[in-house]
Amino acid sequence: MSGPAINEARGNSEKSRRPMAAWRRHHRQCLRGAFMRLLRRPVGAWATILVLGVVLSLPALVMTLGHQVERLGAIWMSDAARMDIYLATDADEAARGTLRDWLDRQATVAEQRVIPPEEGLEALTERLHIDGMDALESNPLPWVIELTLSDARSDTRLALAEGLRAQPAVAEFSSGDDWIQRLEQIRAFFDELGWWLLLLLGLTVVFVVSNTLRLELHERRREIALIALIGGTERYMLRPLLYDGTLSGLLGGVVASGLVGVAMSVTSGPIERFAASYGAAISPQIDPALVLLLMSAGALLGWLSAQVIGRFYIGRLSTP
Amino acid sequence: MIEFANVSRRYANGQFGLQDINFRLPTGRMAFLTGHSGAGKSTLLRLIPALDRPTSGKVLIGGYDLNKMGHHQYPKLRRQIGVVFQDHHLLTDRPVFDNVALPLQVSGYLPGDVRRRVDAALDKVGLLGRQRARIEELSGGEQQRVNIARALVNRPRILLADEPTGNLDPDLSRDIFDRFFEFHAVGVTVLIASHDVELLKQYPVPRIALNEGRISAFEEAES
Repeated sequence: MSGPAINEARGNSEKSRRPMAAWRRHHRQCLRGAFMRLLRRPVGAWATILVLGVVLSLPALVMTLGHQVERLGAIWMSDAARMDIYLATDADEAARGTLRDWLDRQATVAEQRVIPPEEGLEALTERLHIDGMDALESNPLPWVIELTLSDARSDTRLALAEGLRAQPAVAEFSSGDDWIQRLEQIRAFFDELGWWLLLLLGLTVVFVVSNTLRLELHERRREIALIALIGGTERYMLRPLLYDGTLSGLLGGVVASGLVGVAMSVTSGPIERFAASYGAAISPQIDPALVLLLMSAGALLGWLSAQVIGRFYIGRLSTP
Repeated sequence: MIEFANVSRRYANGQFGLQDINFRLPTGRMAFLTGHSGAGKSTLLRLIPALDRPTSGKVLIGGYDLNKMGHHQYPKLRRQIGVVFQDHHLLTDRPVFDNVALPLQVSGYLPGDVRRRVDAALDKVGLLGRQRARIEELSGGEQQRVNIARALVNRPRILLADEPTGNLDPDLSRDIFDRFFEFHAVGVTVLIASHDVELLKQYPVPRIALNEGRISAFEEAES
């Protein structure tokens, strides 16, 4: 702004102002103030934090469940990373060789084992306890190549299946990936549900925190109006509120992590037994990344709430 | 300089708080704003630090048209204007020092400067030594002096006072007005709204008389 009166007025007072130092100092004051207000009103403030914790823990629990499904799925998938290729009856040795070369070049194929028809028949006889198979005029079984895949993801299998269909020596192959796809869909569902819940319940958090902060603002309305009158900027007035909101959100995230931790320790017994029945050892524990996510989401939502309610309320108090 | 050019303020109910106000108060001058309760004195004063906007007309501070000013420019304007209210507007949960220091903290002064200036401002209003006192412990007159110290601590170019002696006895009122006169003497532009005609008569200061939102008379200083 220009104007003689305004510029005249600055004069020597400008020399003793240190905006950056004062800015840092105000941040420190606001942080200290946020803790003090928390201690001054333990019941009201902690009730809000507890509500935040419960609300944030719901999507976290769903995500954790998804994570457990993924871990259990991984145990099954180690068995599922196999595929059997049944060769065409007219595929001669050269055709088989070409196919094996092609398979060798596929990055998704970790290992291949060729099972000649005789070996297959022997295994079948043994498995089914059938006598008199020798009486068969010719062996009805095809050549089989048993593949071990580098991973069991359904997209890996799909890509390989597409290539196999173009191979003339291949008559059939076991796709068997329906349940893998289903498992992946379940995991993706839990993940997506968790994110949606986080978004929806995040809005709830914004309302809860905003309402608490609105009460705080209402109590401090005289002070805010006064600060506006003596030349406080909107940011200056908003700053204490941002610290209040962020701190509440952060602590809400900590409470949510604690609740998820408790839920996991309560359910750890059944999950461990379930995993053991598949020969795996899983001891459920809270993912540090989830703790970080909850604390960041809490802090961000608290900050956002303060921005929303603060700008609205302070704007009304400080401008004509 | 404070200048009002054809300023009107109309409320939502259609009533006029101010109507066609024109006056000019040059830099460093002092004036009284007189009139009965409801004449429009507070409405007029609120327009100067942009606490309100005129419905029509222009308010110019230092030649700068407030209508052209954005919201983000208000803080800078308000830091140049000290305002003394009738009802003090003091923060009762804080001691005297914190109340007076507030404008300096908002403007970004360092703690050492804040202390020095607060002490100087409290000294001017005769309250040095009461820095730690709580607001409730002070008398009405002392509270008003804290109010004045806060309005002056930032060394504003303009000082506005709205019925600053409303609840005070005549001796204390005179004491407060004497201090305003001292600030005017060092170059501060002062505009005081008061309906205390007897008190105002004691000072050779021009008067802008308001009646039902209009200027009814402009009296030059009597010497």
